[in-house]
Amino acid sequence: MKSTLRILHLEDNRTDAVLVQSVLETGQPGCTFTRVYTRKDFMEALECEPFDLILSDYAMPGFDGLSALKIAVERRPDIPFIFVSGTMGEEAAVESLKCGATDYVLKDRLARLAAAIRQAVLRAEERARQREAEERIHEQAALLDAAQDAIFVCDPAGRIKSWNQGAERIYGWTAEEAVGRLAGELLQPEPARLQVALQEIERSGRWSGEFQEQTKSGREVVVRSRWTLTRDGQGRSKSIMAINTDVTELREMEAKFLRAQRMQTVGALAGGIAHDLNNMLAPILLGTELLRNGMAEANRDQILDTMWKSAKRSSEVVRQILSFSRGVGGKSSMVQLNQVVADMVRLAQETFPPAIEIRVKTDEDLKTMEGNPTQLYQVLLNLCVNSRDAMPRGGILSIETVNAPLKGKQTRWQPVPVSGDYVMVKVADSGTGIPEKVKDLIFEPFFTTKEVGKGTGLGLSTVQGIVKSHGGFIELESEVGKGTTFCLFFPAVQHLNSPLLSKAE
Amino acid sequence: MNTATCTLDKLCYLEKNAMPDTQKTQAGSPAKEAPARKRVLLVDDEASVRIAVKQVLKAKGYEVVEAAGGPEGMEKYQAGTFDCVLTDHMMPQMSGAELTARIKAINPAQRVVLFTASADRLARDQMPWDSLLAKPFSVDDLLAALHAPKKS
Repeated sequence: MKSTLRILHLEDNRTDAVLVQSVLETGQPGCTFTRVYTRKDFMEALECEPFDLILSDYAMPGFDGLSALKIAVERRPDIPFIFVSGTMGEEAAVESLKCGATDYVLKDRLARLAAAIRQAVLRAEERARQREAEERIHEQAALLDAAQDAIFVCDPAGRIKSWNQGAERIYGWTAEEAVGRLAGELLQPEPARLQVALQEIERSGRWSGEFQEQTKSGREVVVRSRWTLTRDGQGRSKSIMAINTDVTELREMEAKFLRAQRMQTVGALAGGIAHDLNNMLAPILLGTELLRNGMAEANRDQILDTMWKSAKRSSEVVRQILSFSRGVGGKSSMVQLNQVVADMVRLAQETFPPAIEIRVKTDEDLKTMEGNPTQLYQVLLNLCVNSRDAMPRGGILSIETVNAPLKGKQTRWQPVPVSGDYVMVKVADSGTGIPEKVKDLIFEPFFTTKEVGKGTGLGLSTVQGIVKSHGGFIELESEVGKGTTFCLFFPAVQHLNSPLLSKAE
Repeated sequence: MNTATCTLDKLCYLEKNAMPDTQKTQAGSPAKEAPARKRVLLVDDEASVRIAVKQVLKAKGYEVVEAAGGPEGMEKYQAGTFDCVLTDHMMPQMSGAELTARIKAINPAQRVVLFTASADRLARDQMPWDSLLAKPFSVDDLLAALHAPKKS
């Protein structure tokens, strides 16, 4: 409580006023008094000055205490109002309390006044604090509801405890419908990722990542999600707060861009694809003529077999190109990078010039990573097409995978040291190499050293974008005339014991 | 056509790494002994193409010697005598154009038919082969290329 109180004193009798003030001077020293006794002065004082307390006589000529109380309650309900009267009877006192007075003190019992004032002021201060707290809560609730993000809180079992308007907007479920339901059942995130997230939040108290979820109407939404765990006094998990940003549109735009870039890559492969198909059509055409004209009856089976194999191989190339350009496998999942490498190498072997020798070395114990198989395929193919173009007279293209436990690893494009379990894929060529002066530019969109019409300059910027979105980073070594080596690092998935994960593999 | 006037980059090394004189003496000389059947050297890294082409040629009475690449083709060429060399262009280690140039360096009169699955990539006039065949080709295309008049 404040030590000096500003008191508005409504009292017509000067002697009484002095008496009250002197009594207070001993019980509550340092108070300032403003004495008024007309309605006009009272209202003016109330309007213009800040007071901590109103003391009022009950009966005054020309103005009365009850009228003053009504005015005070109406205009400044926060200021405590105490009657100090010599004439006030029991009934009037009760009536005044009903009308909003804080207390009453009889003039012949003035010794009680200081205590009454202290109590009234303390109670007023407490009320003010409560009001502020309530206002803050309301403001915060309004803030939560104004947020575009879905913000909700779950208990440790995953049951929803609160649900803001952003969550209503994104998911279509109202707070009434959502509260009390299990978040995992309501939103249906991918079970494997949910499990990874739950393990991580239990371990570190935080998690962030992306989920594909469902709205009330069954529409799929992609959300970027941040989770925070709160614990009780004993350290037990109390609740999980989730803040989810709807990134569906963003991801759709990205998917469109990546698809366009894949079509450019297919364009870069077109010559090789045509070459490959022509090569395989040759034995098919010759074979049909041989069989039709009965030119090779003795070798009929061998010719049929050759034709069948050639047709099979061509259809496999066409299938690979189509599935790559369509983006089959475009959803995030647990990925064995060796599998992506094997698929990509098959296509490269069919469509790259034979003067390029492709060497593959994969680590059989390579850890699993989380990612989008089509995007990873795209990354590898972009790098390999660049290597192909860097070796117009042929050379060696080698692709390697290996587990990479990192301790404070830094590269030019990863200035912040990285530690932990990573998987690494290396694409190395014996081509022309990248001059030092352009090394900083190669990941810039539209930067290209290829002739007009030969390259769009989007290949490596796409590689960079995809690697980053997978939480990975790039290391580059290149020497003009010797060749270029790209090493891509991706975070390995730690927990492989989940049945869901092994199913995804 | 003479290798010295060849403008193809790939052939330049031939001048630096000229063939030994003993081999050069063959140049321009007629075949040592005329074989009874016409012999063809067939060079392609695609086994399926070799199988199909070999069957066509065998059916037409040719004797076919196969090679799965440029170096093997060169080896077999030097070990025998052929009426015609049929070679693919895009092969690992040694391209068909390179093989043709090496053969012509030994024997400019040797008939060479080059086939390729990417015909548009080759500038026809500057090359040392006698006939160019685009894959895929028919039996008639193949036979026509074998019998086409040699380039002057």
